[in-house]
Amino acid sequence: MNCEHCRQLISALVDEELTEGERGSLDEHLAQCSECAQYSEQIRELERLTSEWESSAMPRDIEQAILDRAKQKPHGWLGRVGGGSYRIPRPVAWAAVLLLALLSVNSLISRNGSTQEEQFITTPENNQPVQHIILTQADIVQTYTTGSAPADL
Amino acid sequence: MAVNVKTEDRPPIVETSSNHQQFTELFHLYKDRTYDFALRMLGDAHAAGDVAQDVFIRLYEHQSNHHHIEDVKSWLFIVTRNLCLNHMRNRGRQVPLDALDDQLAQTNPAVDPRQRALRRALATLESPYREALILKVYQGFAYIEIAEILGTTVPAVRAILFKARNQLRDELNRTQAKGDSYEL
Ligand SMILES: [Zn+2]
Repeated sequence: MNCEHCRQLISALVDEELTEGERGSLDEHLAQCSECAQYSEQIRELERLTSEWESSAMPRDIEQAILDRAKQKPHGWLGRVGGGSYRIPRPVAWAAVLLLALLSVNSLISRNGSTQEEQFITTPENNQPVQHIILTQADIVQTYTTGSAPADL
Repeated sequence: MAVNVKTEDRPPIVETSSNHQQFTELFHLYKDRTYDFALRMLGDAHAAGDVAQDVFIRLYEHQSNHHHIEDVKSWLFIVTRNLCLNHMRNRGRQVPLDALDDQLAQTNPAVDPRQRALRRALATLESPYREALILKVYQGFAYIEIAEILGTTVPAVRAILFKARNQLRDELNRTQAKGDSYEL
């Protein structure tokens, strides 16, 4: 057994993941290689030090926030503790986009064939509602895109 | 990413209360481990809280949509790991060392310089070395379970943990060489 292989086995030994055969050849090597024996001591000391880092329980406010939301919202969630982003359920977002699309088509037709852009330029007093629709649509589309970011799964 | 989620053979719609009860049971079973894993990955309690909430939101949504999860424990750790890695990518620096030191000072008023050095050294480990070590040392997973969470094989996990310990040891020795009071 070479030293590299021996050191891999030392790590596995610390993890209690060695077979009996491997354990035998590891002991054999350690008995005759002082450098690996020293390495073994260092890794054990490292393990002892590492495991001194105590575990943390979930803070009560996070726990409560998750449970409250599960209770309030049997289907779908809105928001989270700590000021994170709001999630709009996918079907709701699509419905809103569709509705607003229909509304703007409707408003286009009712303006006797003139487009929104022309209205916007030629009659500034009519800006508000048109602009409002455009902005709202953009907002909803934006919210939808952020709200359903890929899960990376 | 392969997760054992089956969407076929969905059960008929069951009433929400049993979904809710199942969720609550799983939540209480795994909430602390999930949070602890995220905290060790990110070294930042605020970010770990956000990730833990996201993880359980996803679990709840999966249940609400009647998606079957073969192995909930693995699934939770896979999702937590992915969200932590996303978070780390977005924030640029791997672990905020100040937050890490604060965290240590809160739990151990008399800060052990060796613990401080160790936590900083752990924070320098990159993926998948850090996850592997955390899953083994602090979560007590067997190699076969770690392999499933990392999406790799048992021999690969063995090699990853060997390298992780080597790097940790080298990093601590470097710290010692720079004059911090630490010696392995
Ligand atoms: Zn040797």
